[in-house]
Amino acid sequence: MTVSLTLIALMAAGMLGGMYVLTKEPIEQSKAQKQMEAKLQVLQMDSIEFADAQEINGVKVYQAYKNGELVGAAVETFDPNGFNGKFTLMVGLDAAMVIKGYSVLEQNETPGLGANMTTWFKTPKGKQNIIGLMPASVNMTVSKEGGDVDAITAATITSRAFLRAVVRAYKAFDSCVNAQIDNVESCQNVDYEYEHDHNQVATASQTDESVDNISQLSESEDNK
Amino acid sequence: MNKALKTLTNGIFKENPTFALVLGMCPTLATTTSAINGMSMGLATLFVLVCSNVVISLLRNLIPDKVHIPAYIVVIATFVTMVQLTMQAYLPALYETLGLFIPLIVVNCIVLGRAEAFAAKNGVGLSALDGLGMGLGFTLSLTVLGAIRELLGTGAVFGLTIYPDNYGMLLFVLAPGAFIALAYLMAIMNKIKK
Repeated sequence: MTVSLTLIALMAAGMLGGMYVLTKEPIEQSKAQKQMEAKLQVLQMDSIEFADAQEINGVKVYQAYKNGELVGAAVETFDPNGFNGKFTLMVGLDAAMVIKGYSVLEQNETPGLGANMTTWFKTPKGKQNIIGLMPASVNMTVSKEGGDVDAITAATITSRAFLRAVVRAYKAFDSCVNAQIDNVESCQNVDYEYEHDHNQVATASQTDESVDNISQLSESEDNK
Repeated sequence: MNKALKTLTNGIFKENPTFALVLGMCPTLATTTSAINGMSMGLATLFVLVCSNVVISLLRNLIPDKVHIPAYIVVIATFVTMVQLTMQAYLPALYETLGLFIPLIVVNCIVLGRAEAFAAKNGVGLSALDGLGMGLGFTLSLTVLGAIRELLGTGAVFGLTIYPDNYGMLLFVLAPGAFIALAYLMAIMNKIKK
């Protein structure tokens, strides 16, 4: 009994080991390729090179250079409080801190509602398009809270989280650029005002949550 | 020959895993948001079913009765992991949409059910045919269910737009739509059978 079970388990282990070795490389390749494609797609620029990632509070900044000059950055950002938990985005910003594009890397939002964020914020309709906006000069919150961006229909919670993630990306890249102006090697080592800003974002998101709870009760449209 | 044909068609209509046996409801309801998702889930299950039926049928006289369930689960889990790795390597986009449900094929009642009820008692050839028939039945039901939900929910089938998605009923893409569409399909199947 034990012998036959052991034999079966060994056989299974052998097959799985072989399969793992065979697929290891293609899996890594497809992951790297997806990230590379996202980085190029969000910036919409030709012949640029990306520097290595600089990580600030979990946000990864890949600065883009053309002929040695900084032309922008692809920023891998996230928000932990989507409707169904954390999601990650790639946001493209040019050197003037204008949003060039974005791409959703991972999300679990409701299909047909929150999951529409993959296209919603780049569709030129009403105030829903964020491409071409400057996070520094506009109010990056949903319009029903007095902001400058229209939320996804029936998915306000997702929209708020999405905009928080974009602002997070902008702040990270901004602190990197400031670090370079100050001739600091890498923004990773800089505390800067960012820490302060980050705290503000954190408290803001907490109050947002309580607002979310109320709005969940009062707005049937936010329900799943 | 006749028996072989009967085994093959058994799973497609008479003992259709979804509509007649009502097995494997979790992936049925969760992955059929579109026709292509349903079909992919069905095909992944089909592959696992055929492979595990063949291997279990081959080993049926070697596995002691006391440990047959653990042994079957190990065999099934091996094939599921192989499907998962292959999909992750060569179809990353599909892997992302099906995600969690691929590893869950291990505990899909259809796979273990057929191993217990058929492969453990029949020869290799017949077991393979049974796996194929059941797998095709499962794939067909999931594809039809996915197509109906996609059509009513987003106005498209297999991504081809039939009417503008503004008129789509969002409900059908969400969970309640799965139950409604499944219930109607099951009612139709029962009517035909009578």
